[in-house]
Amino acid sequence: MSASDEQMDKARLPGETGFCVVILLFSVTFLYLSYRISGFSSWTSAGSLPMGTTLVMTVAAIVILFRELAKPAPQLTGGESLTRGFFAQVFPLRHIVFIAVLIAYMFLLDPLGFITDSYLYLIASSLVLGERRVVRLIVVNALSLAAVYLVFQTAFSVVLPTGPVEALFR
Amino acid sequence: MSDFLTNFAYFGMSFTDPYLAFLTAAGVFAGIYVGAIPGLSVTMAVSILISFTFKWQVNEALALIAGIYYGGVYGGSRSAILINVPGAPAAIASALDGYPLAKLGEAGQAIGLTTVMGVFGGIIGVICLAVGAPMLSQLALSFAPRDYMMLAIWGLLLIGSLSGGMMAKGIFAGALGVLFGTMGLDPLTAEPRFTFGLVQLTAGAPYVAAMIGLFGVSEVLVQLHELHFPTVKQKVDKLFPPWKLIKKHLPLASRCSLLGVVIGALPGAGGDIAALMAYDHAKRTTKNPERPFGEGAWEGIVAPEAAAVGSVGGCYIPMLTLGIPGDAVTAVIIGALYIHGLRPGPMMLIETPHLFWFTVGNVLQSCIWLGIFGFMGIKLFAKIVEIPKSSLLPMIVVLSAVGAYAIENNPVHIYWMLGFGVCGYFLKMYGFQVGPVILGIILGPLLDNNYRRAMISAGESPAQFLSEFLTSPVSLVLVILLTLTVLSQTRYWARLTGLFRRRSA
Repeated sequence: MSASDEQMDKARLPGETGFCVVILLFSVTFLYLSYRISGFSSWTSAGSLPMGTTLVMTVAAIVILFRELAKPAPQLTGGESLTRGFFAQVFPLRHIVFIAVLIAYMFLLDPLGFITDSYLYLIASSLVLGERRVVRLIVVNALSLAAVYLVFQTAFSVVLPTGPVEALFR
Repeated sequence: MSDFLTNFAYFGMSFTDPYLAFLTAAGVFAGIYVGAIPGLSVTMAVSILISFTFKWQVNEALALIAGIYYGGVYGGSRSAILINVPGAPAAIASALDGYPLAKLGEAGQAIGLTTVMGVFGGIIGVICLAVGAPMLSQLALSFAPRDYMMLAIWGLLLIGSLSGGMMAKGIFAGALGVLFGTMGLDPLTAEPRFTFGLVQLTAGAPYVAAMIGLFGVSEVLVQLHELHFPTVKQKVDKLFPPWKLIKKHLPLASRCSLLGVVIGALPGAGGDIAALMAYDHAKRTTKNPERPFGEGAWEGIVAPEAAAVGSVGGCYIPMLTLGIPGDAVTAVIIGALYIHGLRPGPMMLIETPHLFWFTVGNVLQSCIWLGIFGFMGIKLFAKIVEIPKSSLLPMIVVLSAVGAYAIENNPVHIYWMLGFGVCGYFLKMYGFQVGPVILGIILGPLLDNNYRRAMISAGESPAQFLSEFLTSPVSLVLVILLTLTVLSQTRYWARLTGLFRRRSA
C-alpha cells in the first residue's frame, strides 16, 4: 500500500461527518421515543431495553463523531466543494439513476406484471451500468429472465404480479 | 438403544431421500458459484432464498440452505486463486498465497488441494457439531436468562469488533439491529414500540425485507463503484494433488479445522475471522515452507480453507443449541427457522431431535458434494465468474425484489427492502458493517425477553440483578469473557500483551 493510499484510508470521506451527525440525531430521537413508551415506570417496562439500546447508540455515535473529526479532512481534487466531492466519491450520478430506475420498477410491478416490468428494468439498468451491446441487452436479458421466471414458477411456486404477458401462459 | 437408532435414521434422512439429496447437491453447486462470483455472497443468497422457501417443508429449506452455505464458503477461494479477487470474505486469506500459486502455473493443484482440505475441515466440523452440540445443549439447560442475555451481548460485541474497523461503529450497528428487533407490540405487555401508529408495524420490523435490503441491494450499490475487475486467464490442469502433498499438510489442516470450529462456535464470529486467524497460525508455526508465505506457500491455502469450511460446522453449534447465531449466515438461518415455527435453543434437541440429527447428516452430505463438485466444472466456472456486472447486478436486484415481494405477496416489503438497502449502502460506505445489524435484529427479542426475565427473577432490584452475575459460576465465566473481548479492543490490551512478551523473552 502506498503512502497516499494509507492517507486515503485515514481521511474522512465527503459527507462522513454529516452522516455521523445524522446517526447521532437518529439515536437521540429514538432515545426520546423509547422514553415515551413507558417512561421510568419500572426496570422491566416495555421501554427498558429500547432505552438502554438507544443510550448505547447515542454514546457510540458521539464516540464515532469525535473519532471521525480527529481524522484528516476529506481529500478533494482541485478546489472541489464538499457537496461535489460527496456526489463524486460517495453517491455518484450512476447510483442515483440506478436507484431511480429501481423505484420505477417497484411502482410498475403491479400494473405491468412481473415479466414486462422486469424485462424493461433489466434493459434499463444494464444501460445505466454502461452495457451497449444490443444482443446482450435484448437477448441475454430475455433468456435469463425466462430462466428465473421458470424457476420461480416451478421450484418455488412464488406468486408474482401478473400482467398481459403472464396471461398468455394461462 | 432405540434412541440411537431413531437418531441415526434422522441422520440418514437426507441420504435416503433422493429429493433432499438433490436439493443439497443443487445447493452446494449453486453455492460454489454464488461464493465465487465477486459481489455475490452466501448471506445475500440465503436471505433472498428464505422468502422463496416459505412454503416448503422445513427439511427441504434447510437442505438447500446448508448446501449453499458450504458451497459458498468454499467457492470464494476459487476466485481468490484464479483471479486474485476473493469471492467471499472467508477467502481473503486464501488469495494471499493462492494467486501467487496460480501465477506459478499451479492453479489446478491449488484448487485441488483447497478442495481436499475444505472437505477435510468440513468433516471435522460436522464431527464437532455432532459431539459438541448435545453436550453444550445439556449445559445450556442450566443457563439462566441472564446468561442468554450475556451471550447475546457477547455475540454482538464479537461480530462488531473482530471483523475489523472501529469498535464503536460495530457496537452502533449491533445496537441499531437490536432496536429494529424490539419494534412492534411488546410480547409481555402488548404496548406498542416504535410503531408510529401504523398497524403494519405492530407485528415488528419486516426483518426478511431488512435482510434482503442490507445484504442484497446495499451490496449491489457498493458494487456499482467497481464495475470492472481485471480478469486473468489461468492455465488449469492436474486437479488432483498428489497424496504426498495432502499427507504433508494434514496435521496443519487438522489444527486449523479445530481452530475454525472453535471460532465458528463463538457467537458472532464466522469463517472470515477463522480463515485469517488460521493463516496467521500457519505462518507462525511453519518453520521451513517450500516457498515463503505470500509467494505461493501451500500452507497458506491449506490453513484458511480448512478453517473456513470447518467453521461452518462450528457456527451451527450455538445456533442449534442456544438459538444464538454463530455468524451473519446463521442469523439469517435462524430467521428462516422462526418462519417455519421453530425456536432454536436448548430445548430443540429434546423436543425436535429429528431436526438436529437431520441437520448433522445434511451438513455431512454437503461436505461430500463439495468434494465431488470441487473437482468438476472448472471450465464452466471460468465462464460464469466472468459474467459482466452490468448483467449480474440488475439480476440480483430482480431476485431481491421478488424475494421481498414473496414474503406476503405485498409490494410494501419491496419499499422496505429499498429503504434498508439505501441505508445499508451509506452505512457500508462510511465504514459500518451490516452483519451486526442482522445479528441484532435476531438477537433483539432474545435480549429483551431474557433481560426482563432475569430482572424480574431478581425482584426488580438492580443490585440483586448485578450481584447474580458474580455469584453464578456460568454468569461469572461469561462476564469474564465479555470483559476480555472489550479489553482486547483497547490499546491497554496491546500494552499488556507487549509486557508479557517482553517478560517471557
